[in-house]
Amino acid sequence: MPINTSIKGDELTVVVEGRFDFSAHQEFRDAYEDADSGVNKYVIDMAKASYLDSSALGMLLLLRDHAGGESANVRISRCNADVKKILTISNFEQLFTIE
Amino acid sequence: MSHLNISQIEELKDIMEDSFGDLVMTYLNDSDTKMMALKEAISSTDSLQVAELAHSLKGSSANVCAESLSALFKTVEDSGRAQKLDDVSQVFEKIEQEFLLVKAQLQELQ
Amino acid sequence: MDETPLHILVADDNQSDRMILCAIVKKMGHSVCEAADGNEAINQFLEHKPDIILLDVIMPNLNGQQAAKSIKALAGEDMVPIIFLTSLQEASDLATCLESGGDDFISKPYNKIILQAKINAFSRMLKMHNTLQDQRDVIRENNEHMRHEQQVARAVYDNVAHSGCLDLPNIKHMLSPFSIFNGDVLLAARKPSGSIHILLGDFTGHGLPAAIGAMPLAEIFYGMTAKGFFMVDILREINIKLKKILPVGYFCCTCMVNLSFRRQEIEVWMGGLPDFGLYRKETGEIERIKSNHLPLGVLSSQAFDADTATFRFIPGDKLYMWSDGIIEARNTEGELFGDERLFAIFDEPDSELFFDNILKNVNQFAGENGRDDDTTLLELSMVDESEIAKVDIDLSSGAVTGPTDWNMVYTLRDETLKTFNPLPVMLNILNDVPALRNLSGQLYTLMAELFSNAFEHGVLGLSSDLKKTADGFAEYYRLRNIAMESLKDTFVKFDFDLEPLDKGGKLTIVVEDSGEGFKYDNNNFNLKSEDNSAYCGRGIPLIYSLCDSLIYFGKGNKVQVCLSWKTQLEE
Repeated sequence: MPINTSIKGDELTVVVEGRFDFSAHQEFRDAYEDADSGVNKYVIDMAKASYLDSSALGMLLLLRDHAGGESANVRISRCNADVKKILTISNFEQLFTIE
Repeated sequence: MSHLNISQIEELKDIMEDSFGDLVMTYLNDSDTKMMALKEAISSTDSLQVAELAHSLKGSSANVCAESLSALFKTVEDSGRAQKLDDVSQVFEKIEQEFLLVKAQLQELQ
Repeated sequence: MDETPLHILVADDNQSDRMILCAIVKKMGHSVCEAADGNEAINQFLEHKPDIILLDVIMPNLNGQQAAKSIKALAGEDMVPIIFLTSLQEASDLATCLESGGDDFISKPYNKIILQAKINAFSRMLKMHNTLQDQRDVIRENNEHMRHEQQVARAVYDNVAHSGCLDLPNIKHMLSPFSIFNGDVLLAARKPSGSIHILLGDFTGHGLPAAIGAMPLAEIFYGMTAKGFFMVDILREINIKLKKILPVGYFCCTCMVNLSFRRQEIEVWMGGLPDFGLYRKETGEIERIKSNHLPLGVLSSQAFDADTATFRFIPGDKLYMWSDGIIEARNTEGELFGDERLFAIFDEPDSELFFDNILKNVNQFAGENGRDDDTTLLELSMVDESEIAKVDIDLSSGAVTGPTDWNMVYTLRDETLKTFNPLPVMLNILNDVPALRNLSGQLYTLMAELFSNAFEHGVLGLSSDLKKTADGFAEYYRLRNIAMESLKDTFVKFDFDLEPLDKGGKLTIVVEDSGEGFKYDNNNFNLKSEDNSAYCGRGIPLIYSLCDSLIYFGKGNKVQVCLSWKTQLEE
């Protein structure tokens, strides 16, 4: 499952395509770990993501932890209906800004 | 005229190295014994034996690069398989002659 | 030439031919053994275990083809390439050679280059085959180990979870024995008061990592439920524990339910699980219960939200709980069973069939794809408490006589009153008296009522008139929350006095609170609530029925109950 990144100033955008599941684990992690230490904000662009499972939720939690835990600035954007549903059931809007 | 395939025999010598002499001796003794048995089989018109013995001699002769000799044995083998032994004695005479020539050439090479 | 020296069997009835072959093979760096007929070939094979066999077809005694058949049979799983030495030209003859087990041919006169190429090719194949076999053996062994470990893990888990009450008559459930390895957990236990706690959990991941979190979770659930802790306290403990032991990114989607027979209510906490269904007998409607919390193990204990939702639950009502294994079941076309199909099952008029229909529909949908592993389903029905057996408290611990003559005062003030439930601790102390263990249920109910009166009516000053209507219910809890915010100079004091009697003992409990009290009549406790609204909700008739004597003091904020018992004679 391909992952692309782009940086604008201090904001890192990670684009996720296709199924966001366990197979994306390493790539997703590399995407934000390899980024510059100057990054403060994170955007996960889900426009092309078709599906999200519990291991993906776990990966988002890992990112949040990396980004500072309680003080992390992480947005999950352009979610389709299915993805939004999964995030809602898990109440992830309590931890992330979901758009 | 060579009764042995020269380039092949050179290769054989190369493979056998010091054992080339042993090989020649083994072949000649073995063939002697088998040819006697073949002669016996021909006179008793035992087609099966004729075919088997001729087959074996055909193979070993080919391996020592005696192609013409090998071809003659093949003719005898075929006749034996076809159970038509009428002309076989004649071929056998040619075989005996060819064998002597091959023997001479091999011994020269040792 | 290939690096690994092989051991090669040369079987040819012609001696000079054998000599040539042996010379070629030895020149390649391999070792040889020889045979002059089929039988000898087989014997040499058995004795020397050659890696490759050069086999003449026509040989005396046993010919090459027969020998090849026997050798391949003897080799079994091992690969032993056989190269036939043949001058047979007919395709059909060559075909029979292959059928008898030959892998390749070479013809006379023997060509050194061709023979070497073939031997090298087979040597590479052998190496590959042997590597594969070794890897397969390692995998097979590892698999065996893993299977064994899983069985052990399951046995350990069963020991932790076995004391559950999933077999109560008002519970139907479906749980695969190995569901633990999908991260699914289903627990049920009775509180000392008789209420039932149910927990359905779905850990992230699969295999042993998913199973590991289930053990501390089950221990906390069973331990605290047996001691009478509130659901929210248990959830808080589990959340702390999981947050501590699970790595970031691992969590447990959970639903916990407290079913109270007496109050005809269920209290629900949902974090991360898909919608559940609550069936109402009166209307035949299905209400969705939604997840409104993060899963357990994500938030720190300060951020943890223990807010629960309470629903009326009367006989005939049923609650359906499931893990997402049902919703995510796929059919052979890759379609998901889905939430809509699941809720459509409740359109069926007969509620008795719901449980079986859910299972049937999912299995039919999944077809050959169907794996029982992933189906976790529970149906909880409300019934009359008389239909359920009494709670069986574990009497196996404690000294024979225990403490028989003592006094204890326990006072809770302000903030502690707000956050701490003292009942389990106090019940624990009382349970150290063997004679009191038999009365555990009675004692718990008694103490719960007394504490509730002292706290809700006394300290918080609430009246339970409100709880009679649906709107009042909400208002009651609203007022309660307000009152809880402004606790100052408040207290509830428990005074326990245990003394031995001739052939028995007596327990006196005095409960005093900092509230205003109420108008009481020590001579008439059976007043109906219409006659005296202050009695309403204080459960006085109930308290009176559980003890030998009941006396109110002062302005009504101090009450004394007495319980006595006779020692049972050994039979």
